[in-house]
Amino acid sequence: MTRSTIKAWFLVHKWSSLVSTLFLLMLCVTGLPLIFHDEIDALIGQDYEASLAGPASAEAGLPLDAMLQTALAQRPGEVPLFMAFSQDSPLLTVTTGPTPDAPGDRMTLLFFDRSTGEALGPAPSDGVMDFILQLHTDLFLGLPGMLFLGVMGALFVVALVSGTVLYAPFMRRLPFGTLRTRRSRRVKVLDQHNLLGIVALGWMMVVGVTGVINAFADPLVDNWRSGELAEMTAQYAGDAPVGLADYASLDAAMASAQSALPGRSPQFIGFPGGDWSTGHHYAIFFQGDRPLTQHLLTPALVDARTSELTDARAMPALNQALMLSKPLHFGDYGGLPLKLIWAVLTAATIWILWTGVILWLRRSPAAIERRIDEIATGAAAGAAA
Amino acid sequence: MSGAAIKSRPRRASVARVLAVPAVLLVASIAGLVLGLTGDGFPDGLAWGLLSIPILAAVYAFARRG
Repeated sequence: MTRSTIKAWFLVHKWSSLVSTLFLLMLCVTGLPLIFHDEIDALIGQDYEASLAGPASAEAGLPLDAMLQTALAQRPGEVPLFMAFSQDSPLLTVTTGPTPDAPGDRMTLLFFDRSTGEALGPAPSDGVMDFILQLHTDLFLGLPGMLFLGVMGALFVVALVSGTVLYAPFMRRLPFGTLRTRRSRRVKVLDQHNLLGIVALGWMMVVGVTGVINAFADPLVDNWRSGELAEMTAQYAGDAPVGLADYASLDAAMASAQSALPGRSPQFIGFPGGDWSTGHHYAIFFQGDRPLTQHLLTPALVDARTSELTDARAMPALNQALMLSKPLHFGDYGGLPLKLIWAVLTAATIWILWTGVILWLRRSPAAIERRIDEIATGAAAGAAA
Repeated sequence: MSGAAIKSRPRRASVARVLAVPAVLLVASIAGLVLGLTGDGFPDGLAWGLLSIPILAAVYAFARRG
């Protein structure tokens, strides 16, 4: 690499990092407790997934129509928005709201035991965790906040790539894992920054890229609804939306959907008029039937007036990428040991960001030329710091 | 810089050699992350093992720094 190429990559690394560091630090610090949100929720409230006995609510239990009646009786005047199933326990959740397109803060999440029909009350809310999640997702700014954090995530990816490009020439005279401790503080911090950066690179890259994809979740769902979903249900385009009074049997709808997608397990139902359906359909989302595809959902659109299947079709590639991005970003798919690994690597990322800030704060005038020399010739144990 | 200082410098390794260990760690991390998605039980164990490799590499480097 020529000296000017190195200088260009150095400046890319410096500025992509500087602009995003503060937000990345916030994302790491808020992300740490979020890794363990299942465990924290179970500590604070009742852990229904562990305590309810019986078949999984996705498989069997009381009729869905009966469960929906129980839910609506608790929220008179409201309409159902979602019904979600557990693959492990009889826990079934129903989300209601004043209107089919109610925003998140007007929704109510209710818990039920599908094997006994018992209402378990509203989902316990934890103000602190909700605050942390909101800050992590959108800075309390809604969609613009999400997209902004998505851009910060993209800068993080740029910083990872440029950092790796600079790592190669810098390390040509040093064995892997060298941490020089008898030199200046700058050298000590620089070696830690480089070692942790290259070691955590794969994980940071995956969590960064999937974070960016998650930031675009809302536009991707809107895009699916106005594109493929509208196409699948084109014959309904001019009809008035179906009202609650005209809803046909959910159990019959589930049976129609399952005859089109045999052997699949349902994950949730989007009711008519919400973000995940049309004004005329129950959208029943099924998991894939193999381990590798279990995170990929396929919607079956069932006419909410007749319970007859309209169409079932896999979602577009970008939406599939979004569905795979969620577990890869959250780290919630491999038990507690994977969460602990997530926490350790998050802590390493915080240290990489912090040492990056120190290296920038301790720069001196005209230092950039010395930095470029150091990278271009390769750092060495005997060279001046 | 004196001639002695230059002589004492280790030879510059090729880029391929410098990036060999990082490439192994990168592949282990990504393989662990993806394999863990393919199911519970054995795939999860594989994910823990593979993702521990980069962490252990850093622990080893910090333990023997001097």
